[in-house]
Amino acid sequence: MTTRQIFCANEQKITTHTLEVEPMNGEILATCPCGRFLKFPSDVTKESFDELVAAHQASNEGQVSLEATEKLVATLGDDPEPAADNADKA
Amino acid sequence: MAATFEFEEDNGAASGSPAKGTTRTAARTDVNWKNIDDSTTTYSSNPITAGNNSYQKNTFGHFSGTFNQILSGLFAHTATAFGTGLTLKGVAAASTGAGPYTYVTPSTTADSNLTTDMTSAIAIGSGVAVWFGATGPEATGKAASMTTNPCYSNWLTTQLQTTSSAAAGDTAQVTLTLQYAEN
Repeated sequence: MTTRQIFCANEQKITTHTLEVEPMNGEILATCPCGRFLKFPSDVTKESFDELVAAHQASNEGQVSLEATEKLVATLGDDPEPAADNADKA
Repeated sequence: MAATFEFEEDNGAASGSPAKGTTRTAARTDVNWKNIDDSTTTYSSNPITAGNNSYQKNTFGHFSGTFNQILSGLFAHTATAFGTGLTLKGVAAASTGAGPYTYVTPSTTADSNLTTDMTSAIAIGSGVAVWFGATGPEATGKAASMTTNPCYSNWLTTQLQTTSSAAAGDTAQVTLTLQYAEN
């Protein structure tokens, strides 16, 4: 299995992407463990591939998805009231 | 009085210098990624086979009516998630008069010049910068603000790329937003 360290726009960090050939059209498919993927034309060279990977990172660093913000908001609320201790009422 | 806005779309072979599409269609209200390069054919008649990509959609904004200045453009996917096996690629942030994208004859090959991953919905404030040109999205000399009337946004080109894990049927209907200020 061929892998490559590529920036994932979803994870917002460099992750180990699996490189394989897309069976339908022969393009190069780079897949992050989170499921997000990139596709590259089949006629890239090693040099142009490196440039495209760098350009992808430059274009996508700093993205904050609405989903990530919503998850953050869910953690910012007041702590829930502690459950009543029935033993105190005995 | 305010600016009049509409989305427009180019299709067909790249022509001219700077390049634009052979056909320019005004008053577009939606963008359907499909396996044909036009702005009118029903998408269900030309579905994308899982593992393939759509033709690029070369959309842009057209400003007319009454205004002093159009500025502060931003473009992003702002609502609704895509399903598994789908990636939406879009133009990079504008930063030069000729950029951020040069029209090419649309194809289903993964367009490596579309570097922004627009798959996730984000706040429009985090969108890519959009510049404006006096004669079309292909114009040179685009700038972050424009007083010329009419004027046009840079290309807002997108392409839906898929893998074999993409589900059959329609994708979710997502929202792409172009935000701008006028004075």
